[in-house]
Amino acid sequence: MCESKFLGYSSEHRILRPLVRKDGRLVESSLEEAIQKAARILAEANYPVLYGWSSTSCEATQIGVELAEEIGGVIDNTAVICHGPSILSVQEIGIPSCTLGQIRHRADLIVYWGCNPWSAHPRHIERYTSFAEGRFQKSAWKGYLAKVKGITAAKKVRTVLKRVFYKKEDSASPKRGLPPTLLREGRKLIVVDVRKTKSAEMADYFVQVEPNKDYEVLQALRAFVRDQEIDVDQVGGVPVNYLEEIADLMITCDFGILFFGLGLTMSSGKLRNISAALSLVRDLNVRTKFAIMPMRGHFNVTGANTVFTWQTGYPYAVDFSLGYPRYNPGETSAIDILLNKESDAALVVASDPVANFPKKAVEHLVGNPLIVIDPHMNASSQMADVVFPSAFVGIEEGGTAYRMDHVPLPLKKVLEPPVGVLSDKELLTRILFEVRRIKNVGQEAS
Amino acid sequence: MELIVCNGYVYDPINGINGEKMDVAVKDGKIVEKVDEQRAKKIDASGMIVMPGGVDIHTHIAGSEVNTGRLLRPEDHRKDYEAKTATTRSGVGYSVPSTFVTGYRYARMGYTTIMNPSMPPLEAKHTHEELNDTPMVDKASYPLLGDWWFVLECLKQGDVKECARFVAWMIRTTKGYAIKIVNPGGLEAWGSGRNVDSIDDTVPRFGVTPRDIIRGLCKVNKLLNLPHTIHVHTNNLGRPGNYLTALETMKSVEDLSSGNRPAIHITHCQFCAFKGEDWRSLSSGAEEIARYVNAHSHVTMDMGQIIFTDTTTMTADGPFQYTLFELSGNKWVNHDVETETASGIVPFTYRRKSYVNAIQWSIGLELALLIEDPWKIFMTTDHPNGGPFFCYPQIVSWFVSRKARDAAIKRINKRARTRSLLPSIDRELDLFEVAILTRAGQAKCLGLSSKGHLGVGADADIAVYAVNPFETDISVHYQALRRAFENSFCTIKGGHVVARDGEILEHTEGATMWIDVNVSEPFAVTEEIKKRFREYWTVEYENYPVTDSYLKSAKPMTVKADV
Repeated sequence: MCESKFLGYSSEHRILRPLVRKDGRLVESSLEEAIQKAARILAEANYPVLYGWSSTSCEATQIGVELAEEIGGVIDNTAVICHGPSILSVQEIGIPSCTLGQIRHRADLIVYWGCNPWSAHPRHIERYTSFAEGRFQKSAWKGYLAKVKGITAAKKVRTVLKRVFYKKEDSASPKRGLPPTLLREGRKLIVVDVRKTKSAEMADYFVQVEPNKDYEVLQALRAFVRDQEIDVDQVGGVPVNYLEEIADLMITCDFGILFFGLGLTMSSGKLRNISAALSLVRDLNVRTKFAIMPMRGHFNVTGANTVFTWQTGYPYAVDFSLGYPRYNPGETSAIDILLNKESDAALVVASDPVANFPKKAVEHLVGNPLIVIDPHMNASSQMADVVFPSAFVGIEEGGTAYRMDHVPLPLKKVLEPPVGVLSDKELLTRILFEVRRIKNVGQEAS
Repeated sequence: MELIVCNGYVYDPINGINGEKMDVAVKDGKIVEKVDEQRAKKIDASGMIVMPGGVDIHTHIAGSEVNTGRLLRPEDHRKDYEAKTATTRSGVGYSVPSTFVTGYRYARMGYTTIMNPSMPPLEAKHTHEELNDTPMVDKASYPLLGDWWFVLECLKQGDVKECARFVAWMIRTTKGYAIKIVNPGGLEAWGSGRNVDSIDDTVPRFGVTPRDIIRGLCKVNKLLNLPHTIHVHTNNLGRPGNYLTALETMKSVEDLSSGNRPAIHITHCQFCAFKGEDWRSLSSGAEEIARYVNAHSHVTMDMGQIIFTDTTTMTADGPFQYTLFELSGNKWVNHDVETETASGIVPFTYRRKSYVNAIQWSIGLELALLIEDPWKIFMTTDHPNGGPFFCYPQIVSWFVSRKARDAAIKRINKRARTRSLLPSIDRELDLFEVAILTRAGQAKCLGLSSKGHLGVGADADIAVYAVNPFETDISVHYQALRRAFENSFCTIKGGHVVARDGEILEHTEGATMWIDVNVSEPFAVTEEIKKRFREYWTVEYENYPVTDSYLKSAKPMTVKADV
């Protein structure tokens, strides 16, 4: 990551001054003016939506919840478009889980289902699962790594030599692939996905499922774990014998872990897929020790869920319009409110719904007053009525974030933000203060 | 600010005041000898009960497992919510209330100090963030240390002093208050799906026994001069026949107590007083436990009373929660924490007509009534494991009234009724004893010198209950007492009237208490230690501690250790 690109004051994507829309154009304004305008929008709205929160600190989110409560709005975080179904399933079935260190120390079977950590969570495998070394589990992959490095280095040397000496390659390139004996030692890795990803390439077992057939495969595995038989040749494009072998591996391991990603939560079946996965792991616990964990995306989406839950009792899609927290995803979730054209203003913090939400939802979102707090100029800020530049949490601002296994981590401030740029927390506090002032004046007047 | 609570009947067991009609004067958040009666705000408590603010020694109200419990149970919240008012935040309630509502509900009952008993050290920041958002009460947390690898390794080597240094560091690092031990050894075993069966079973891979852990940490506790004893959730919790394990646990530290000072606190004892071979033959072991406690001075305990209602069980005892999941088939959460501990959550409904639940209900009350010295047993429900904390007034009514108990016994399972010892117990506690069980005893056991009493210099935490003990026969009109305890006439916290007749008048932030243990030579943070950190945890040494910024209002208590 290049500092100048992401942080530089002159970066074309960085906003440095508050912007307010005047005559259809965003123009720079003073902070006071922007805060007043934002506060007025929120204080006057009947049913505002406060969305985002997963890429900011827990401290900012706490103020966000207070603001939502004050204005009787709906507060929702990005879980609604990624692991929302997982949360619904957890509320139905529960979740046997653990912290990541537990996996590093003890797990001898790792399953990645519908996720590709090699590309999406690059340090995950190295720090917590297959490549990691724990107290009771050695990393059998270190040899493999050394070997791969050796091969790569040799290849580089050959390329250089070739360039220098213009020699034709005289021998066939060394055999790729891994000796199976090496892979059978130590922890085992199973990857289940619809295509052969980078993560799948290093797995001991790769199960290629037909798209949208995860539910069937999970239920078939459940049947095997419960010692039932299945009277077909294949399930979801996977031969039954192979699934049986996978089920045996799961039963015979000492400590297994199933990580699942959006491949499971957002493919056909959604929360039913997760219910099946959770039930599978619950069944496995009768026979051995097994855990399951969602692979969360945004760096603090777990934190957003956590703060929402301790303050309101619910993890996302919380509606304060009746004065107390109400939760009914499908009714009180951000996208559904936008699709039903119910909201009349929105505040977006550290997110870009204009780029990610369905078109119909976006139309309603930008058709009403929109306030955006973000360090960058993104699609949402370009469509906004008020834009606040903010400091990068974890770089220009401290705070707390929760790792996906619910371990809180302090974020450090390592750089000063650009002059005049405030943190999310500070901006929200000022907006909340102004909203209260406007409401008090209104009460006194009436 | 000056305040005077006039003409109430004061129950202050620590100062030996038993229902005397007197005034209590308050100045700057403390109880004082007297104040200027002209200037001071008067609260007329004529014909009412005045007690120190309630103290709860064991209530799960904050932290990762509580929050996961909240997340798990939207159905629990829907039936019970509180709207925002001019002074209060909104929230939801019942068995796992949101943080603000927790504070308000305690304040309404006249409680002002509560202790959160299980804090996984790795997730201590989370606990403190939630405690910051728990208003109205002073609070503290006990870090879970009974299965921490550092402790197990030190005790394996028999190095109690080194262990004490680590524990001192951990209590300071997590801003904790006391040493909590849950199913010692069993949680480490649960990390690999196993458990320990007795206090002499060896912990796999570590070669120590639960007995070693309990004794070791008891010695550590003494070396560090911590104000509270070790706080123990026994092995085999929730299994028939486990009263023997509880007795063994108490006996194991008999020789470690000096003078009349307690050496061990057995928490939610109801759950470890089961006699019988299996669930069918389950009966009460309360008599045996009470006999032992009556004859020894080194034990204190709290009840863990159950209430017949729908609740959410949550403990650090992962294997126990798994058993409960197997028994009930309800949804189940497990959360093991690397190097330290485990935890589990299962929603559960205690039913009157269930034989086992009815016996459990009886055991809790039997313990409270059979243990003669009220300073040895305290009222808790192990919230929310036995039932939500707002049911405390109901338990008080069972304490003071045989009639109330009889009314409840009539409705429980028939077979349990014939086996219950309760019908044979005539004892009815008086308000002096109630004050001990609900505040004075708990404060004394916790070593909180400025809580639980109304002597000069104590914190001005006062509860006034609108019932006249000299006109109302509470053993007959127990419902009047129950109603009075449900919503205090007024609750005073730190010299401010914060609640009145169930209404919250002021949203105040309570302080988070923690113990700053001064050891003569703390263990040196060498590269070696940092390396061990990196090997044991997935968090860097620098990111591990709960820094001061995590406590909104901190109240450190300094103790000097003998090591």
